[in-house]
Amino acid sequence: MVAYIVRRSVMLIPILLLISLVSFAIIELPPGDWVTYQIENLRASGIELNEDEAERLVKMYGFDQPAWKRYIRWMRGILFKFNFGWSFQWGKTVNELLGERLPLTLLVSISALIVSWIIAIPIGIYSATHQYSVLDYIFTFFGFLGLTIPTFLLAMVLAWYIFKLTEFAPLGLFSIEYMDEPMSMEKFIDMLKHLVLPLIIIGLNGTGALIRVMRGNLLDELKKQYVITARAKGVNEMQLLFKYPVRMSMNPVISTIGWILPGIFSGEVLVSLVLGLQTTGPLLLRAVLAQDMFLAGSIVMILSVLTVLGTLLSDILLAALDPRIRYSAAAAR
Amino acid sequence: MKTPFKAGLLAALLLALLAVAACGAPAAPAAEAPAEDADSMAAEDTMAEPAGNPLESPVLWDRVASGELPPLEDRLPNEPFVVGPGVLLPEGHVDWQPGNFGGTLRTLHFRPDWNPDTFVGMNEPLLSAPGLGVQGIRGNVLKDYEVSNNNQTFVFHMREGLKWSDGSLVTAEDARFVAEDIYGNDFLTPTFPRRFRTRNDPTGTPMTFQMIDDYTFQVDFDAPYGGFLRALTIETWNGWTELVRPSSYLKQFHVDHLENGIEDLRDQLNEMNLTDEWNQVFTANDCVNWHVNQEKCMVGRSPVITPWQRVEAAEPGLLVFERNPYYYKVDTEGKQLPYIDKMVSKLVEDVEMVNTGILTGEADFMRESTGLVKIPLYVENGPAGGYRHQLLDMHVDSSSIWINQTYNAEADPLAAEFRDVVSNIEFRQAVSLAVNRDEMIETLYYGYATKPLDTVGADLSTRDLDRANALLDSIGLDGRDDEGFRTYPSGETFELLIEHGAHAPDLEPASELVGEYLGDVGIKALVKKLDPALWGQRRNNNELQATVFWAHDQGWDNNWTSDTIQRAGYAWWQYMTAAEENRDPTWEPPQWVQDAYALDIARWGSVSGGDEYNEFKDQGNAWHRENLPEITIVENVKYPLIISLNMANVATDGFAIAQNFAMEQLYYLNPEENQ
Repeated sequence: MVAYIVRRSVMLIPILLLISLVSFAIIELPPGDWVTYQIENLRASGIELNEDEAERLVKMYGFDQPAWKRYIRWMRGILFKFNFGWSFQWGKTVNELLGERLPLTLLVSISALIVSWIIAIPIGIYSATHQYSVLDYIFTFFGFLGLTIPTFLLAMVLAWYIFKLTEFAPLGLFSIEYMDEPMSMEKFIDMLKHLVLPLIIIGLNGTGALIRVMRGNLLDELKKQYVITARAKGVNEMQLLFKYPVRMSMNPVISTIGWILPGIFSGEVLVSLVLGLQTTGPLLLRAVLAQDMFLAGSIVMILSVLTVLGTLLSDILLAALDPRIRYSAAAAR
Repeated sequence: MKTPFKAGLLAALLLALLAVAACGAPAAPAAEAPAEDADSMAAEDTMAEPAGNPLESPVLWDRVASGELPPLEDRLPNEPFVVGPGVLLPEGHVDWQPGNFGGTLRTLHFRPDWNPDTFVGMNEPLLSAPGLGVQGIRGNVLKDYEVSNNNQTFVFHMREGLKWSDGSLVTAEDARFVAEDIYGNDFLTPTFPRRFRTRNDPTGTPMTFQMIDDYTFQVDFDAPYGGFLRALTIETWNGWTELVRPSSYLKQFHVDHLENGIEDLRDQLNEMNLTDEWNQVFTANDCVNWHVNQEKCMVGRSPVITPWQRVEAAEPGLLVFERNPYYYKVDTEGKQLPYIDKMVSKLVEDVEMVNTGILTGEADFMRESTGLVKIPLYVENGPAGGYRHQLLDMHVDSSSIWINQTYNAEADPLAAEFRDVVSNIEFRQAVSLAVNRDEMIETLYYGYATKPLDTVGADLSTRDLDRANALLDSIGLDGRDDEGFRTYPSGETFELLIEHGAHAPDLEPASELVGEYLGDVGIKALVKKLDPALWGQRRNNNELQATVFWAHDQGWDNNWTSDTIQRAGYAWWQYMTAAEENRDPTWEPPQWVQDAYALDIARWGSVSGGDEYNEFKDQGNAWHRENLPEITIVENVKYPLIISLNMANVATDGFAIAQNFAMEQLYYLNPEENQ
């Protein structure tokens, strides 16, 4: 097992280097750079910069240097100083920016994940054990709705209805009057009120899919012979259900951890955009649009690294959880 | 073993139910709660107030009492700038009253660290004039000036005792530092700024700077530059940093002033992943006027001279500005401005979300992101949200058709033919005649706009399809393809791609309508919406054939004839605004384009607002009507300014942006309602 983990980790190094190169190249692809974006912004507001000022900006922000030089500088910073570089758009380091936004992002993503697990897993189990019952049909109906309605649409419609009905605008994480206050009971309550809608929306989206997966897998397991054997031997129904089939049908859930990690890091981009949440997702979108290259590159890279690490983690978890995988790996060697 | 499993399942189901219940319930009581809290907090504040100087805002009293801030008289310059009726805005534009201290102004922005409304509201140019005019130029950050030697020598007097927001003195050394150590250092300033070259001409000679004493400096040019004073007012939204920056702060980042040179900047260079580019470190700390929304201009970093200054905020994306205790303006009663203590701006996703925020009552003031087309929504939701809209003039022509006569996309084999066609003045005249301006004014601007009499003229702004067709036939576009569209003389269908960035709510429908009108005269116009960033890049690469965008109103004194050249032909504009040594010697723009620059250079030489100046301006408009560098759709457009119902000293006439610029005189009738 240890050798397996070490081998997989060593293989990560070339993959990560390649990822960094590709991330940087993608961000360099579109014409123009952050300075041209900035000049365009000012122009749109009626501030006309002369060519001499534009030329000064290009030099000031180091865009007169070749791309490979900027790439090496960026990588050196990350590898030796864990410094992801400078965000032109925000005028501070990428590390600082991510530090500001990660707590909120993790809060929203992890609680949404927990909400969706808490709702979906019991419902999935119920649906599988009571296949074709009335409740199963109802859950299936809502499960499909959750799967098919785009989250951003749901967010827009619900936000508007809540505002129309209650005159409370569930946008952002705090009302504007609390945003600059230090944390207090009132501010916390205000935050909870704003958090409800994103949690429902982000949570529901995952829930629909998870119900279907859980139900399908468990149905497969329940038909297997060991279940029949155990039941014939008189094993208690609950114990039987949870000790074997449920555990087995969790496998696909565990193997998605590879995608869940980057998902947690980036937050639900579209929902965050619609509801105005300051998570890392909108930060990435803005960085890409504004060609804020070190910020965009760093986020893309962190997301890729998390995907790679997540895949490794889910492989290890699967091996730990499912003896069959463990044995087959050992047998292959 | 039996019970734990059952209990586990039950607990899970229970949790699920609780989660569902919790999600459904709490939306309803949300509306009242914050209002009550705000009221009770405000009541406590007023009871706890200590006594203090009534001429300064009560939020400063504690800091003065504790000795953290000197008393008001030591913070103001010897001769403060006095604001009263007719000072910031012309007489008749606002019913000016002395105001109350207090309150928070809430607003919204959609680009990180960039809110045009707070920028304009905080910006302070070196000199100023009422409204945004050219008449009555007077001191602002600088106290006053003397002009001599046939508009070649300018002596500026500074305000003695004027202080930066950190309490340090503003002196002529701050001006010398900018002129010599910033503009004179080619690592920091590769090309000497045009504004400080004779007649604002990129090929003109740079100024000479001379520091006379601690509060006086002199600037000389080698030829008359009557517009120089104008160049130091709000022209192109410049500010105090054009010539005065906090030198004692900035010297910490300038190698010429560091004991160990670049080594003293090593930590910052490392933090920014740099090796020896100290100019980038300098820029990261140099707070230029249009950076006031950024962190480098925050309290504790660069000192500023503005009415408010950015402070740390509890949430990322929130911009918070608090009053500058050293601000140099007072009202007629001697009260130190601004009246409003604090500004808070929330970051939202895009311009549509800004408008959603306005509708839900999250903005007490909003200018740039509003739109005439949203007025019905503002009216419907205003009373509940506590705001109204004030119709004022727009300083830009809301929409104008740009046809790029230097269009040169590499991949387009027809680019040369395209240029040949659109550079015919008859083509542009035909486009203007095809546009149905009456319909556009009625449907897009609700009648709040006029035909472009200054820049197009009555004749060419009245729809006449027969004349338009005849003009197009006369320039070789008389062939037709199978679908009835006009063809190039070579036989290929002539296509005009109108790409717009939907920068404002009216640009998309305006582009669509223009496309239809051109179809009426047989021009195949394709209309395409782009992301604004992509639009800008295509424009910078000279790849836009045509677009619909706004342009500074020619009726506005800040506008210059040659500004239109970047809309007429992007490559011409790049050529003409580059310094002489950077111009390609193998070609030059046509004579009529160069004429526009000659007109402006002559206008810069004359005294702003004088007869000679106005003569050049009229000549500029005549040049515009003759050459149609762009095809203006409407002039004199109105613009809705969003204003809290509780706010006073709000203009009822003039430019919306002039009201925005006079933000320090806005006040709340009942400040406790807007804490």
